[in-house]
Amino acid sequence: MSVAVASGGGFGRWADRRFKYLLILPAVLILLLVGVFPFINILIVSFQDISLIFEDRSFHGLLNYKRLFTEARLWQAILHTVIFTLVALPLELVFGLLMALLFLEPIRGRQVFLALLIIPTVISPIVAGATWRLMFDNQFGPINQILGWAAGEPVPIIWIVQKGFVWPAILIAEIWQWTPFMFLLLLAALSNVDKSQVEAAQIDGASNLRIFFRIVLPAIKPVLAIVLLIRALDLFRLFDVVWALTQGGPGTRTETLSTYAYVQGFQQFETSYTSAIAFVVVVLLSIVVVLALRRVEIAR
Amino acid sequence: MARVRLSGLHKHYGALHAVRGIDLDIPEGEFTVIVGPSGCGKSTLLRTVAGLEEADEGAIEIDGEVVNDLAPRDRNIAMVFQNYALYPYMTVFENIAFGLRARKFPKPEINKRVQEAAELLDITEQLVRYPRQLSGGQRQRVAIGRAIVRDARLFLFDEPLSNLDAQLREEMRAEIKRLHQDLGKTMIYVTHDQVEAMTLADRIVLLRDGLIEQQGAPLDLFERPETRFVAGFLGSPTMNFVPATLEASDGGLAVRFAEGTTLPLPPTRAQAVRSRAGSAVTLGVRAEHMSRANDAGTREGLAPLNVTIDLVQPTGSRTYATFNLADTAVSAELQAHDVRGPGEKMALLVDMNRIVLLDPETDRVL
Amino acid sequence: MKKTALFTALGSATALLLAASAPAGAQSAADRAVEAAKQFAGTTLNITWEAGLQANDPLNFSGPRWEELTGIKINVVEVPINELFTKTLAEHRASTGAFDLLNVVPAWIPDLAEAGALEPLDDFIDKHGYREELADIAPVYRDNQMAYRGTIYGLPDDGDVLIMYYRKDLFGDAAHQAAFKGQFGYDLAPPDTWAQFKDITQYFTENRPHDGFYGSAMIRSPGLIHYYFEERFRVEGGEFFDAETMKATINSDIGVGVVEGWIAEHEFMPPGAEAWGPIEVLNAWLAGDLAIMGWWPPPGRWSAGYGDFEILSFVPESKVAGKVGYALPPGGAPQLAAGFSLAVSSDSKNKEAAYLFAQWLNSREVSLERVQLPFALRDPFRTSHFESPEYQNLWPDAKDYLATLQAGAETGLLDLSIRNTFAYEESLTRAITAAFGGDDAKEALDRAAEEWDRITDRVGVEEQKRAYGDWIAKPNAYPN
Ligand SMILES: Nc1ncnc2c1ncn2[C@@H]1O[C@H](COP(=O)(O)OP(=O)(O)O)[C@@H](O)[C@H]1O
Ligand SMILES: [Mg+2]
Repeated sequence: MSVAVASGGGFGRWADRRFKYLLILPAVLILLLVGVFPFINILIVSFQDISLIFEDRSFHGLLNYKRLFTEARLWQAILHTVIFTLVALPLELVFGLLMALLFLEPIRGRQVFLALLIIPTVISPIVAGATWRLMFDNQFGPINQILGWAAGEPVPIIWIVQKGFVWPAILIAEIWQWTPFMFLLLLAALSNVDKSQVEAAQIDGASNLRIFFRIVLPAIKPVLAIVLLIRALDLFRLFDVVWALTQGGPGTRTETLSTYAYVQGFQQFETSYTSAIAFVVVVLLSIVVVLALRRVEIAR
Repeated sequence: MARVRLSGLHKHYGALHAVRGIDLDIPEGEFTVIVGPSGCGKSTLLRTVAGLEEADEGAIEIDGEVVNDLAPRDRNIAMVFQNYALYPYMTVFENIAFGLRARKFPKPEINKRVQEAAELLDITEQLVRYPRQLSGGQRQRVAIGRAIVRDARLFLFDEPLSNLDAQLREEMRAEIKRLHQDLGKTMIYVTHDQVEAMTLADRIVLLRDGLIEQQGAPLDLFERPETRFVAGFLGSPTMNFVPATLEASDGGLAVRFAEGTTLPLPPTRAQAVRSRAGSAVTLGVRAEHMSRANDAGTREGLAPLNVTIDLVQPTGSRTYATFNLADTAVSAELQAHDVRGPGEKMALLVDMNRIVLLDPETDRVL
Repeated sequence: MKKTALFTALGSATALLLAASAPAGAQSAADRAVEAAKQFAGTTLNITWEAGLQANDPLNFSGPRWEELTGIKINVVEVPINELFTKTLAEHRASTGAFDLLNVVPAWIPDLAEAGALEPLDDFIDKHGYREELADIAPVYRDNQMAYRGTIYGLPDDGDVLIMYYRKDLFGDAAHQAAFKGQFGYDLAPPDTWAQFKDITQYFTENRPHDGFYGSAMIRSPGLIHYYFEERFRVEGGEFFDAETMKATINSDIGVGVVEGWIAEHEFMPPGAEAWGPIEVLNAWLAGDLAIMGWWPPPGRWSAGYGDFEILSFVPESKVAGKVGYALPPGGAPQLAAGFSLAVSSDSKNKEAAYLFAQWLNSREVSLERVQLPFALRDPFRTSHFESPEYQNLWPDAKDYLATLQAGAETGLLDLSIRNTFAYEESLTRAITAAFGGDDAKEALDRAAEEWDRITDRVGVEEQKRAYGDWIAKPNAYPN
């Protein structure tokens, strides 16, 4: 074939040499269409002034970006999101890892347990949120019921209202839903760790802790990095559980970046302002992702 | 240095009975090779000694101490794995030093020991490299280096050479043997390769289906197998087994084949099997114990056999000629130029002093 | 006698003749709409409707009937209430023409009309002779929920008003009356003030007729709580803005008092009631676990046990039938919370057909049937509904019920409706929930007031001042 093409002249040779690029061209075009086009649209809209009241498509410069920096509620939402990510991610990681280590050993009924454990991750976040709303119901919810048994008297906590309990409620629901995801991927990674390396280290006299940190952890590091990245990005977009449980309340106590953006964009119709938020977030997250990927040497 | 004693050892994997009652006594400083076909339980046995598997029954003693309940790290042993099990995220130096660091050796001591081991194994240049940058042979040396750098009392090898090509395998084999001579440590070596077993072992333990079939010095086993399995497992090519009957002739005994051909037994051999006269036997004869009859005449115990050659396989110095006897393909090892080609008729001499006779019912040597 | 009959007969004949020649003759508005709509037979009208119970009306009753009469198909697009505004505006901005007829909450009319999403209806109304029947709509709806700056954009179609329901049997019980009077020094009766309301809830919580019974429960969920704030705040004398400067004044002592009053009342409500929505309140009420509660009109029908339709299976069986009294809330000026008007989309390709369907739905005869549908959430909004003998006899106390609704339709308070009302509501709601969660009510409302000022700044103080001026000019913006 290459002979025929080469004799076919200039274009044939060019096409031959560029064949790999031609192959990925459709994918790139689709990516551009679904990824870049909306992104550019957001960018354009963010420089206009479109809201519930006005639909002003003229150029307004940094109007929305200035507002972004003066809106305390936005920064509070970002702070909530960052702190929540920093708290939830390590917890999910530790729980997921512990569970995965547990499941590495062949135990009776492993398959059944696995199937059960995966349920939280496969149900939709909206359903999970609604479920947790029932779980946390102050009168009929099992959580207060169980706490009541433990305490020996009825527990009157109103999880989705009282300010000391709203974040823990969200945290519990989020960890419940996403630890299995961590667990699954880590289990897969751990199952692939060369068992003989661990055995060699045991015979070498290394403690379990040393084996974990020197042998196992380096081996699962790439998967770990990706899982953490995926979950960090997910957490950064935390929405469904919060919306189902508290809608960001009481007040703005549990407002996250996503619920704030939702309120601004879809309840108050602050289209341009929300676009500015979205643009900044996309840019920041892209930088984080690129840096993170470079660190784990997946993107070269 | 250590003396190892296994008694009544059993190991199950679920319903599978992998080790079925092993008693074994390994004296200090001995090089013991556990050999047997794939799946016979060699690795399991070795891993039980290492503590990587728990014995279901029986005792493992090292230096008189029962170690069944000790973790591998507390048994003070070293082990080399088939796939080397090097730590991929550490340099060669770190790989070898890992056990020393884990055991909190002082730094200068670690450096010294790693250096010595590296020199011994000729991998000094590779110390700063990572395992993935090494050749198979070098990886093998690192694995060995990791084992010897500590003063382990017992060395365990699980098929350490099976991932190497033939030539490297021979080199490393020699090196391991030299290592044993230099260090004088007790070593247990697992392999499915009978040549490795024969060349390395002070003693061979032949394992079959989780049980010891026979054990002893290599030549002992080679020359005096107790079962068809042992006779067939050791030696290359595999011993020929031909169905026959034992019959009385001229006051002596002869082996008679279905075609009517007979091979007389020398009196020294006949003595032991006289009671079997008239019954079916299996004749076992190694290829190298047959030769072409020539004018030089015959020695005591050489019996003539007329055959038609079907297949000729030259290897250079020797040629394997295959012929048919009692509906069995039998292979003889001849001088390179003793045979011209298929279809050739010739007379062979069978060294009747070296044959074995087996009971076809029990497959035990008579 | 005979003469009269003849006259009537003649009159009828003339009417028939007239009807044949002139469409705006003596026929009813409903019939005229049907006649005029026949020319559009075969078309399909897309109509937005609040998803859920509300949509059963066009799906099971009015839609099929209209198609039978005119050959015009009705395609109901169900939209959750909290997305209805957004969806309506988004479709308009994208000029999709996806909808012909719109269900809009009257408070949205200014925003939607300014955005150009709504078709002015005056010409259609005149053309199809609907003015006279419009006049029959109760004044508060007619005068406030129909027009923006003099132009009619919507036909008021739902008499939403937040009234109180109380347990007539308990309030009328001699022992309770005596005990209550002994404790509080005045007669036990539906409360005239919120202070009395608290006394009553305290009394019935402390003297509960059975376990699990509480004095009251009120709707407290985000998205609805602001209605109750707006009502009580104004009843107690609060004003949303300083009309001169447009500075927010919701954080006045009155505003703080409303929120703190609620928090104090929660003591006499079921645990967790600070997060209760309409369904929880309704369930507790129908189960007979509350002495008094507030809701829109439907529980009046459901409590009576009238209309146990399969569609209503989510409503528990009433244990309070025959025991329910109806009253206006303390202050006597109930919030006309939400409501619906029928509007024609300016992007519709079938504007006239859409209008005609709206006129027919909204007409005296058809709407009377609709507000009596057992499963309906459309509530009486015409004087003729309140005075309908048929309706008044639906259940023993139906007459009292209609009288209360009618009274509410006279004194009812309009939902705040200025530019960008949602933003104000959202901010207010967050302040209230923050206080429920444990924040200081004053601080929470101070923050909300600051946010209100910022929202006003963004809209433009002058622009908002004008909108607020328009709004307070309406007779029912503040209590009289
Ligand atoms: N971890 C295990 N689980 C189940 N069966 C095993 C396991 N390890 C080995 N076996 C089985 O035990 C038998 C002996 O295995 P092994 O000791 O590895 O044999 P060898 O080393 O002689 O080839 C084989 O049938 C093998 O399949
Ligand atoms: Mg093995």
